[in-house]
Amino acid sequence: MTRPQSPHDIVTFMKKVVAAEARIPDTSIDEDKSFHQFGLDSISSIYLLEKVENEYNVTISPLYFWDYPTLRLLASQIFDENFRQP
Amino acid sequence: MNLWAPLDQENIRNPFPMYATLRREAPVYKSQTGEWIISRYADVKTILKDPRFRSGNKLEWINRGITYFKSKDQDLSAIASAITSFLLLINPPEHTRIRKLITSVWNDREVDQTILENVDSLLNIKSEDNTFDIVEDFARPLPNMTICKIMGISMEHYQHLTTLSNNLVKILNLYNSFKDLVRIDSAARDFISFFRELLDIKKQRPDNDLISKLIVANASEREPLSDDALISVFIFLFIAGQETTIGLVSTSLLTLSKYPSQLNTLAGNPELMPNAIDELLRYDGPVHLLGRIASENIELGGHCIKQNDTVTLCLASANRDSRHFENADILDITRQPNRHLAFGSGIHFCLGDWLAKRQGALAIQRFLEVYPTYSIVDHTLQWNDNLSIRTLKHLSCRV
Repeated sequence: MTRPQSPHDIVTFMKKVVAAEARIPDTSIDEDKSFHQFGLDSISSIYLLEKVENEYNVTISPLYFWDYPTLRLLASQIFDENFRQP
Repeated sequence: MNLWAPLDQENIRNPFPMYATLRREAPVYKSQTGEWIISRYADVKTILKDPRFRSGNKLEWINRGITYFKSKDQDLSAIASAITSFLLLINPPEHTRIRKLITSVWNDREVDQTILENVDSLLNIKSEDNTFDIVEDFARPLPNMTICKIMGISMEHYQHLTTLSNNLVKILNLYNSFKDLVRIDSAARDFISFFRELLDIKKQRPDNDLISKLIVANASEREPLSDDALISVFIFLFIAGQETTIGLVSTSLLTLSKYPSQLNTLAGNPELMPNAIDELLRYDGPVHLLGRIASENIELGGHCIKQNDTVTLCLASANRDSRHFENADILDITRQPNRHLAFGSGIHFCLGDWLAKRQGALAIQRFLEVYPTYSIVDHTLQWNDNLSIRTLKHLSCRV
């Protein structure tokens, strides 16, 4: 289990998962593009969220994939909810 | 701002304001997930009766999921095997055939005696401090005890099956996490092996119970169902009435406690019970959401629902639609007519409606006789975070 220092850490982690799923290099992933543009859907989203949950020991609502539909938005939400210092 | 937030804690506690907003502002709403959310009575009813909207979005989805997760070395295939013949997920002609098979043998409606015995045995258990958890002590065990008796399952299994049923039914949740799917798969596996064993026993020594009757009737069909399909039918019959009856009994007792004068009227006039049950089903019945898939492009309320789009029908919202019901947000146990959609409509109309109503009526009636002055002590109610079938986790009362 890791503790992210910023939303950016979560973005970096998710990039790896999304890149592997989409079979493209991490560097070509734009964090402001929607997950759908990388071919993720209601099934692969479950895999992505599971990876993130296990990496950071958090629980993520399955709906967040749609409520926060880009890497940047989702990472910020997860960070704010679990790791933001008051 | 998304109008569709079914996992939001506020909406889990009370989804009716969200439904009201949807009905008012966007009755045919394309949500962030891509599914259409339908919230008005007329639209929900139209879709339920329209064969172009087929059932089974969950089954199609899980089959795709199984293929996907296989590539991640995770086997979830038991889920599909367990639910493959669930009536609410299948379409004609298969649906017609299985529904006919069940109704041909499920004709013994004399279940009052069984239900009353179960109700009385549960109501006799009371803690020393006069508190009673309506969910755990009453609403949860009751339907399970009853269906075990109907299906010919020995009572020693009922605790174990309650847990499995509670886990497997989560497959009907709108959105599941990976951990949910793993738990569901494990419950599916255990259910299948339990019923496979029972199938073998009942094949050799058929009795007078529903499982035996199904086995016998199936054997004389021109094209009998396979053992696997039959096992899925058993699982369906077992779990279909579980969470729903838990919800009906406990939510109804909660609702009635908020309307003391109607509660008194009902306690003094048990003949009002059948009508009251229909009103309690309308007011806050257990099944809030149902899914459908569009088989072709369909025009609805000025929107084009495209072929293969998923449609989520908010039954509980339709039942509070003031375009159809007068004073829709107020409970009225004498309401008539009351054409609520709590059991759906069309070919998928709930097969167990009579059992649900009968069990609900007897349970509530006896409860009011035994504990006429019950008062709810839970002030922060805990709901399960699933709007598809909405149930309380606990409901403590003083009796």
